[in-house]
Amino acid sequence: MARKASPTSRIELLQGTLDFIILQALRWGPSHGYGLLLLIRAQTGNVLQVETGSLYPALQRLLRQRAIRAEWGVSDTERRVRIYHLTPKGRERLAAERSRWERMSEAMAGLMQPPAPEEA
Amino acid sequence: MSLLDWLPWRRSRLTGDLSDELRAHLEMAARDRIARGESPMDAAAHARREFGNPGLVQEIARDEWGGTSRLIEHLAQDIRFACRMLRRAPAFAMIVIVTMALSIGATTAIFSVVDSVVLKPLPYPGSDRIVRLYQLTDKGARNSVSQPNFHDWAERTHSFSAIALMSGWTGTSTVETPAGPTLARVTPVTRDFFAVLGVRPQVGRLFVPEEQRFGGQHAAVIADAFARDRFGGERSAIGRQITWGNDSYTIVGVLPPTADYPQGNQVWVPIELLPPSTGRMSQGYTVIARLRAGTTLDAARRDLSAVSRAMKVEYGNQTAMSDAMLVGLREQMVGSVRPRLFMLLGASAFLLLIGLANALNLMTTRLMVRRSELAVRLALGAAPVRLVRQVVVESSVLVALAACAGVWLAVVAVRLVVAAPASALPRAGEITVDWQALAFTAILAALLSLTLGALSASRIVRHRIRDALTASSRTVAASGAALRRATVVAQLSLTVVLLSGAALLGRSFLNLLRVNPGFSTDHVAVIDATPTIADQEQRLEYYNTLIDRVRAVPSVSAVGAGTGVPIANSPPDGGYLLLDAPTDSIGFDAWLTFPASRKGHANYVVVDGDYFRALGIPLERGRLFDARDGVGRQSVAVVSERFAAQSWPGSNPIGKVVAFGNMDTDPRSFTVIGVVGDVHDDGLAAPPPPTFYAYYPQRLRTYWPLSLAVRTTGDPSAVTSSIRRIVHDVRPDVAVRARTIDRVVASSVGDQRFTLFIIVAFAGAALVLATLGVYGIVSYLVTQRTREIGVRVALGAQRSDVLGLVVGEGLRLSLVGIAIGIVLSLALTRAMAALVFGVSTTDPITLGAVTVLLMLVAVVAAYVPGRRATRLDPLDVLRSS
Repeated sequence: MARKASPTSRIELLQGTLDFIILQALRWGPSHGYGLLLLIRAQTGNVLQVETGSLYPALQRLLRQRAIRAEWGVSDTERRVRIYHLTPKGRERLAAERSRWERMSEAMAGLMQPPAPEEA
Repeated sequence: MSLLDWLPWRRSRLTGDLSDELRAHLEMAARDRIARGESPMDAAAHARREFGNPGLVQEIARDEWGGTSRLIEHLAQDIRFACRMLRRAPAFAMIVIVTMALSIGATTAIFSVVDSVVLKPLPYPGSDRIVRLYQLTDKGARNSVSQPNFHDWAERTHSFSAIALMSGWTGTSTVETPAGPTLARVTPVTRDFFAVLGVRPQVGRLFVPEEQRFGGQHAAVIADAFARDRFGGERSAIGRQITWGNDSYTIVGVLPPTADYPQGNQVWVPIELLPPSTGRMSQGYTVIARLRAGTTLDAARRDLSAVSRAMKVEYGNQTAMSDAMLVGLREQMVGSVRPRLFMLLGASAFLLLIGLANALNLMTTRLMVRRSELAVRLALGAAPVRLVRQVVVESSVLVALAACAGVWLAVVAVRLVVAAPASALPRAGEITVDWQALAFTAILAALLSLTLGALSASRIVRHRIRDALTASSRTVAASGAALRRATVVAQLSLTVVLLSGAALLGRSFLNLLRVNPGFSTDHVAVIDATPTIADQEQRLEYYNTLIDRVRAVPSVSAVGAGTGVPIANSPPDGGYLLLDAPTDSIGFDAWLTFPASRKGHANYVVVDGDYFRALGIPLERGRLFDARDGVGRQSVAVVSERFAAQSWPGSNPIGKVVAFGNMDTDPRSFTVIGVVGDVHDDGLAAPPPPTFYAYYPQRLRTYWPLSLAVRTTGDPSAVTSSIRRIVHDVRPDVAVRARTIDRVVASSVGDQRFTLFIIVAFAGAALVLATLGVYGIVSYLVTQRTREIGVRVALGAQRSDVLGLVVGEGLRLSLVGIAIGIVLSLALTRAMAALVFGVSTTDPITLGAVTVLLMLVAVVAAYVPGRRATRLDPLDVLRSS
């Protein structure tokens, strides 16, 4: 009851997507949280605005699922930051999610086209 | 994800320092903004705005770990909060903790005693296979064993891997040690005695065959405590000499402290060194055995019984044994105290329930007080589950504290019980509050806190405290009072049970003290001063000198001696024959040919001096022993009334002739010269046994030592030092033990007194708690009905009406509780049948008195808050609401 009112519900809507986005972003190399934010923003042409309130819980979730791992490192600006890496488990998951997403977007694309008569 | 990752410290390593991470994020965001040309201040502000609330982000992120870890975190929080709440209400916390601690302590202490004494096996290897064997008479009574019967058992039975006989004498005798003479318990035992127990010496060795034959090397094995007391250590005792009887024994071994059988024994010697007892009728020995592996108790019982019945056929009247039986040694040792201890355990459980009810009452009152606090927390978004957990944690903290205090109390109480000489529990030395008792307490505490927490929390769940903010207090009261009413009713009914138990035991105890014991229970000193003199004439002279010199002590009015002193030292017992005329040599065949109507069984006491006058045993007929009955004269005897009644019902016993079976290998018969009153020798609760008194100067061959009975005009303990001096003067090598008869009698009812003391304490505590309970519920109802009372008064109700209303409510509850309690009592006190004396367990007077007492208490407890209600000013009441 108390949970419903909290922002977690918004995360739940995005969950699968956001996790996939993060894993996909980490495929290019380890990054810290802020870096991920910038990366996602840049790669989606500022279309996807990931909020910090969603990003960090998602990172914790992925950590818990052992899809990523984190270690303390130093940023380009000599700041102590937490850097996230993709784990083998994360790669497997990414592959699975990817095919799921491809099927999904095919399906979506199919939905968007006018129906071919007597085929569906 | 491994389970370990849920541990808080492991987890923090995994999640890292989130706040540090988020701070880094903010800094980098701000730096980028500055790089894009924003002013540092704007950059920081914008970065933060874009970021959102870092605290919230952090919390949500952490929440991803969910379940267990959050539970641990919240639990720690709840415990901290509970401690804070309890500190804020110290009086409430103290009362709950103290009452719970007392009841938990009592239960733990009694559980420890029950566990150590009754439940735990004896401290010997395979102790469940050690049994005690008894001869059975034709009437099925358990008897001690004679040596010839024992030897036949040992040869003919097949169920025992080892079987041993030992002296059944449980008194003390003088043992001379290098540190001076002392009174010690010495038990002669047969060869396999230690094999039966499975005991090995901690230092030295056990007996060797050379020491286990008549005329062999004299050797002794001693107890650990005896070695330390008399020789300053286990090792230094080995090889030293002690003198017992007329012989000197070399100490060859020291047993470990756990080897305490017979209980309190200090010296063991081979019985084979002593002349064998050849009379098949000469009972008085104890037989123990170890069951062969794989043999059941029942099989052994059948084996023994078959062998014994065959022996009866073979020996006929030569043996008093018709059959035989065996019981587990532990059963034999603790069987008599078991009902008493289980009753106390039950009583403590009741006290615990009453304490729980009391705590529950206080908890619900607390929750009512905190109603608005809880309501506010609920309104601010706290989950009801969380509040319930909070209450459960609070009660758990209370119970945990109470349990700690209770265990401490139990440790103290158990130490007191063990030290109290009057408790006289078997295996007292083994009683400790051990880990089993602690586990018991821990389980108990867990159950208690769950019950307490669940019951109190059920109030939150059932009547959403949220309602409390809006609803007036009356509606809440109506719903909350049911639980409280039930609690008080339960409390009262349990109190009735405890009170009736206590009352029954109290009445039994009074009945016991009212028993006329048949002898003086005051102004008598009992002196044990047994010399090690072989010569019978010299021994007589020793006793006569002692009697004469003690008689000369001022304030001593009579001195006697006897092989038994009522309750203090039990005399031997044996069979006798009724003869027609005196004879100097009753033939052994008489035992075979006499019909059962001319045979009997009785206690046999050999007395000297003014035995009867010193003990205040009244002469009923004939005369007592005097100068006419000198050494070498015709043996005469005095018998007790019960002896006369069982032997010659309806006719004058004076002048009758008796042959007493082989008590001193003296074949001369006795002529009865007098009849004395009966004496409760087996304890006040047992009927007086038939007793036969012989005169010492005529029966010098008696095996048993004599004790002195000294009657004084003043305090008997005042003369003991003079008596000690006299004994030392007559024979410096004799150890003296002095007791007063009132102490002996008091300690003979020590068991009952101990039980009574505990249950009265429990009942008293229960009564106080029940009173508090009634008081609590009535005050509570008054508070809740203040408005109603105000209205009634405003409408013209009299004070007496208001008082009647309130007190009536309290009384109605009490009546329900008492009624349930009486039904419970009638059902439960029946189990106490073995513990009461001279009163029925369903005694209406006792139950009536308990009812009246509780009603009075309930009236008083209800009257106090009731009077407060009558003082209410209706205007104040109506205005305030």
